[in-house]
Amino acid sequence: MATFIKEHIVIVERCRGPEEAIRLLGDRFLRTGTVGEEYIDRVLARERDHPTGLSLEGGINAAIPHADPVGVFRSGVALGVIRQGVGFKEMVSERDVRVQLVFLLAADSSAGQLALLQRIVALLQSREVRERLLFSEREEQILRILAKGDQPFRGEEPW
Amino acid sequence: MVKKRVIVICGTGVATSTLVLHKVREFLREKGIDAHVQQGKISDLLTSGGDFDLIISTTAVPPSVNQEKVVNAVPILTGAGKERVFEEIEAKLTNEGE
Repeated sequence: MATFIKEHIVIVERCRGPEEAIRLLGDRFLRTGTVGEEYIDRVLARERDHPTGLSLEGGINAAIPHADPVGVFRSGVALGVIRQGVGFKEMVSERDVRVQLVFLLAADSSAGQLALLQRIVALLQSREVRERLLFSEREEQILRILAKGDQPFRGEEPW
Repeated sequence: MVKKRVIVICGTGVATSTLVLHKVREFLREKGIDAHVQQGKISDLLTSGGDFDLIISTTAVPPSVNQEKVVNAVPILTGAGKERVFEEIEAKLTNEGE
């Protein structure tokens, strides 16, 4: 199955906080049978202890909530585009960061998790890609942008 | 020269630290810096934090750990400002008095 599917993409205007964002995307995972409910609880707990917000060049920021690859039935990534941004905490510094792109990761193995993370991180290096994701009107548009990531990354960082 | 000990950590010791670990190993190899690099999680620091010369982290490190030894690895993930982080790593591993 493809890493990104339409059912796992959500575009919303705003979101109250990280928990709401993670639940919104987690619900999509539940509906497609990607993960069990307890996986989402563990992502929420992990996000509180070890936040995953990333403050990126150009002010379109991201978060990559995830948990150990347990309770995952198949690998996938859900993307929430939060137009007005949602307040996450930044990785390490734990400062507030306004995040517009939330990638919920689900991997069924450690190796799979690393592969997903590599893809997302490679994608995020491009400010242009982040802009196009943020300003997409429809899920199909987002899918097309993300599908390009299926080809080897040609940017500065060959992950 | 005694081989320096480096630990790369993240919240769970699986995902982000693995990514950073690859990049750090690659960098040290290019620079010809011989160090013992391992991967771990915060709890590893609490049991043996004093044993490491350098802690490269994608999560907040508790204040009980000597912050002089800690390097924030987020720029290695995001790409922005990663050169400065690698310089910091190199300086901390090649400075003898520290």
